[in-house]
Amino acid sequence: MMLDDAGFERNDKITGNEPAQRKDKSAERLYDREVPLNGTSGHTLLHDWLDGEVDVMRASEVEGKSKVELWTRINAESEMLRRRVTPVGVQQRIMASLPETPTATSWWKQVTPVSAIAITVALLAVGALIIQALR
Amino acid sequence: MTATPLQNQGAQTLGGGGSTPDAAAPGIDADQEIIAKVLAGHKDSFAVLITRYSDPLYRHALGMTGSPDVAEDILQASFIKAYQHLGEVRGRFDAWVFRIVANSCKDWLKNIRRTHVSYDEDDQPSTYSTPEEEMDRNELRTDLQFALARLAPSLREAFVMKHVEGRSYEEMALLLETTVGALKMRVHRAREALQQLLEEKYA
Repeated sequence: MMLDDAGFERNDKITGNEPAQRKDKSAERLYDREVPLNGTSGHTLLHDWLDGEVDVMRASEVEGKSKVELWTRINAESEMLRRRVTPVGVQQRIMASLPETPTATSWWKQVTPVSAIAITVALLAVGALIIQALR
Repeated sequence: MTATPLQNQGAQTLGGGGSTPDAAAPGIDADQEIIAKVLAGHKDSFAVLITRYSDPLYRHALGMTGSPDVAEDILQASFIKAYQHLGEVRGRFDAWVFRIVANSCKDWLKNIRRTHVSYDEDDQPSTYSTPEEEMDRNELRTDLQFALARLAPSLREAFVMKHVEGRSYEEMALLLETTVGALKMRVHRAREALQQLLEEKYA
């Protein structure tokens, strides 16, 4: 079985700083692409079923019983994970670790493009008035 | 009041469990009110946002990292970051804080390059009917996580959001700021990769 290690390069020394050692470039591309490769990622009834667009009987007829059974098991496992909740005490821990006040936003981050243009026009107008008065 | 994708998800999956009454039917407007309170100095009001969004965010981090401990750490760091930058929120708080968590997860995956993952580090109660069933499903769980760890982060993210979190493609597009078509393609690619990795043993 070829494996994709894009971003997960297996490294015997997991130091976080070691250079990535890609072991199988072709496999990496297989799982990392969004554009389908030839012969893969065709739009199938299996996807339609998993997306809730066709019923299980139809998917099973066309795609085969074994694939549908595999995905039924995967879905059951996913359902289990979907019931997970934040462990007790985590929310309190987060609150306890917050700084006293939120960092104030820098004034320049609050300036929108429209207000920036308005300020520039106003400054130019004031400048023009001053120059005129000096003449 | 407009409901948010994260809250909807939480309500669907938790049935209100672990949430305060205030979090039962919240919305974008309610979030903005709370943010205004926090910025006005009421730090404790931030707890409402944590209660409201921690479960779906925790599930996302858990699905992405496979480790309850790491998911907790990412959740904590993300909420602290959100608090520190609360004044910079433009638009929906739920989508904004989701992106903080999602980016943290992807950063973690890139930095750690961890291939071994396990959900067995914590003490969630077992819901299996027989020991055989439990063994069987534990094996699938381990294999599924092992296979998920081999996906590129963007594919893993799409799969987790669709299958583990049970989101619609529209919700995913809103949270990830991309198109439904691109997300469908990612989910399809992820499914095909997982199927290829698992079918030899299970199909």
